[in-house]
Amino acid sequence: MSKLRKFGFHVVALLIIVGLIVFLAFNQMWMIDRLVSSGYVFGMKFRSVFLFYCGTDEKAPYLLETINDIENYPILFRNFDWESLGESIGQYFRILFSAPNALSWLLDFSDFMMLVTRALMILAMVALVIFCVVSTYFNESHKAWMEKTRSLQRFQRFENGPWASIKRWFAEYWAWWKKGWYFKIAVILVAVLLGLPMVALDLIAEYFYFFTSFDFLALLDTLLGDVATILVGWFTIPKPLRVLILFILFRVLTLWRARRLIEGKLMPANEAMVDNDTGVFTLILGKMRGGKTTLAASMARILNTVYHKNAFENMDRCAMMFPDFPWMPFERDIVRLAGKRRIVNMDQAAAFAMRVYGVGEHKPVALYGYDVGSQRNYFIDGANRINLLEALMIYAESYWVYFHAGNLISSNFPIRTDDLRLDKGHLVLYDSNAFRRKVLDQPKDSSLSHILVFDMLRLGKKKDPCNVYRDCSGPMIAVATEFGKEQGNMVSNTAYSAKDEGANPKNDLLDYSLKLGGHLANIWHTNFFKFIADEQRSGSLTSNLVTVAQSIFTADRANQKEKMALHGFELESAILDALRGFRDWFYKKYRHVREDNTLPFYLINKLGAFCYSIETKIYMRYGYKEVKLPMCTADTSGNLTEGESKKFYVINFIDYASRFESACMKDFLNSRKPKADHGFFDIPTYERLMPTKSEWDMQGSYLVTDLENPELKFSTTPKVTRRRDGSRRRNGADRSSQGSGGGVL
Amino acid sequence: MFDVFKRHRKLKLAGIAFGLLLAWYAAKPAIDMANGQNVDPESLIGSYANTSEHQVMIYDGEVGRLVSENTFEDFFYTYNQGVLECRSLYFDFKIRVLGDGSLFNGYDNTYLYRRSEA
Repeated sequence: MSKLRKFGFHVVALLIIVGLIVFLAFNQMWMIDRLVSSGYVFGMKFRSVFLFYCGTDEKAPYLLETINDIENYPILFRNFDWESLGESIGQYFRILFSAPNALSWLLDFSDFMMLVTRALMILAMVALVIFCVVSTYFNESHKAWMEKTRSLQRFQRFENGPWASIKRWFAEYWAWWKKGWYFKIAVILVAVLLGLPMVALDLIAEYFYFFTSFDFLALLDTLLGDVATILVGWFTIPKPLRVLILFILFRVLTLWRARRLIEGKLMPANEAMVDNDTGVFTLILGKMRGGKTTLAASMARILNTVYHKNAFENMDRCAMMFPDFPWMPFERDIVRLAGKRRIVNMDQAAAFAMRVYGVGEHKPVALYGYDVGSQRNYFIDGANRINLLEALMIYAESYWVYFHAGNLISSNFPIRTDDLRLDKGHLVLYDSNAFRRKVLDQPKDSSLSHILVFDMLRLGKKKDPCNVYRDCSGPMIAVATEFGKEQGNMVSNTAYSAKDEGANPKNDLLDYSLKLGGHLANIWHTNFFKFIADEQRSGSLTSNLVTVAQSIFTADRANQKEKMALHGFELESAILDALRGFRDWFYKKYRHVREDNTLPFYLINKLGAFCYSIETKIYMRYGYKEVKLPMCTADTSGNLTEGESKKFYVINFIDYASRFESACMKDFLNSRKPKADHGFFDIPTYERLMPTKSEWDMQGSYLVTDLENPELKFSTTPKVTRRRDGSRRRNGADRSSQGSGGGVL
Repeated sequence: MFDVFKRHRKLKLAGIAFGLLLAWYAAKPAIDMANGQNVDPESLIGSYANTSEHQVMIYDGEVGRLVSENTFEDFFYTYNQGVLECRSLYFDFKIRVLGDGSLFNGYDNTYLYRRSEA
């Protein structure tokens, strides 16, 4: 920053400070007296408190009395007559329900409505003028897209020149000003002008004074005195600024309440629901685009948080059972051995604990100086005797789950989690409140889920018996989308036999992982294994798998209600919608007839973009969906019976924050497309409403094939084995090897 | 787009407007009281009124101590045959003035009447 620029900054800052001081001295001087009176009452009240503890009961002066002695203090509660307080209240209510008050209010209201009507009339005139002006821009033009009118060029020169400089200057000035002393002095002066330090002093003194004096009158006196002070300070602010401040305060309050609702109610409710109401195998059923995968991803994300919390709780309980045991070096050893790949799973962590205890039982040095001979070796929890060895194993297993960077999710599509791992080299902590994060921090706060290697869950035959990840199952949240297509149902699996050499759904025993999942990764009666799957209908899976699911939810758009945590946004959204609607109307009509750039197009487009930016930010930040999830039970045939509904909240800011790719198979399904030489729009369209024979032939239809060659359909030749997709045709719909044949139509 | 903002918006806006009107109605007497526009005859008992030059001043019972110069600012009043008729925003009442209509000289609430009693 140049010296001249800095000098300018100082001059402006000094002008602001001097302006505030002059205003205080010439317009609000009594605020200084008010500050002095608060200081006096503050001292006297603390004196009374001190005297009370010394055994003397002495009353402090009343605040209103002290304020009354201030010269030129605005009259508000002056000479407040405590005895007539009841009378005044009675008088208020007599007036409140009187005809004159109603009449007077109606008169005021009619005045106000006249004002509103005038404003609306003027607004209507302005709207009409704007409409007439912008309508002139709907004449067809053949100017090129890069052409700009002279007025737009001038405006953009101003925008990119002086206006940009002014904005930059203010931004730089604010950045410089808020860091220095000028800002602090200005804040203090404004606070004095508004009477805030006096209110703080009064309330602090009254807090201590009240609990020694129990003087309710003094409490009321302080409250009235402070309300009067705030009102007096408030009315010194110009009216438009007061309206703006009130609006800002209202908005801050509603934003705070919205955050409290999401962080304090919805997020804990989701955690409780997922922890308590999902079983080892949870199945989410629903139509396409019904939000099944969103729910699965959300539940997996929450379970990841819950598992870390549960693991920490296990560790915490062990630490409380054996408070003298040095857990820190024990944790470090686990981390060290994990780094050397001598511990790669939870069972090896438990085995390490056994080794440590085995050596350290007779050699305290090996047990980090803990002498099991003289120090606590077991703990009785009221029902069980828990040995140190058991505690060490529980701790090691739980710590194994807890300390790893990355998440515990293994899924067949990537799921992003953003629990922050806070590690300063001692105890690792997690910050799971994603709602407080900034969107820009998303990449650095994120970790993606592990690939779901199905072989690790196959207890029978594995697709690749040599798969290096075959033994990796353990504490985890497995998520499989389109699980029915993976495992198939009774019909689609008829082609398979349990005796087949290769792995198939009949011999891989993957269902046993789901049935015995509760045993797979259980630490001290806490389950750390869950499998979440989604599918469109229960019939896509074998009844064996459907019946084993402890929780079956049905996701349906009809049970999802969009809600907004931010209240009181109605008027703003109505205005923003109206402006955006105007922009849309203008944009479509304008773009339809021309493509050159004009000033109205530029300004109206910017206005629309601004409105969209506000609405989308509010919607994504504070919007949520209340999802009612009916819990179903399946009978032995796999038929579902709907039961009690559970509530789940899909929070836009968390669940739609690049959490997962809902069309996760898009690249896979389109993998051949980059090399294609024909696209959709190359397919011929029908020539008439009645399709021709050649148009039927182009369809590659089974029906057409059967009608053309009925002998193939009803032949007695050896039956072709049904393929896995249910077709008995060797080549499916591929008619290229059969020739075109004669037509029957 | 953003349908959630549109749900029950008209109803909510109407509710907000109605709430504001009610709040205005409830606040009006309090504002009027604070501005001294609501003088209730009951509150005049124990006060002195100076009617000279058709100007009314209300004192708080102690001669010379002014409560508010504006108290009667919005009053319509007529002075006729020793009776001051006052019509405030909320109450109409009469004050009977002694003798030549100069300063009240003592406290006596018989000089103060509600309109209905006068």
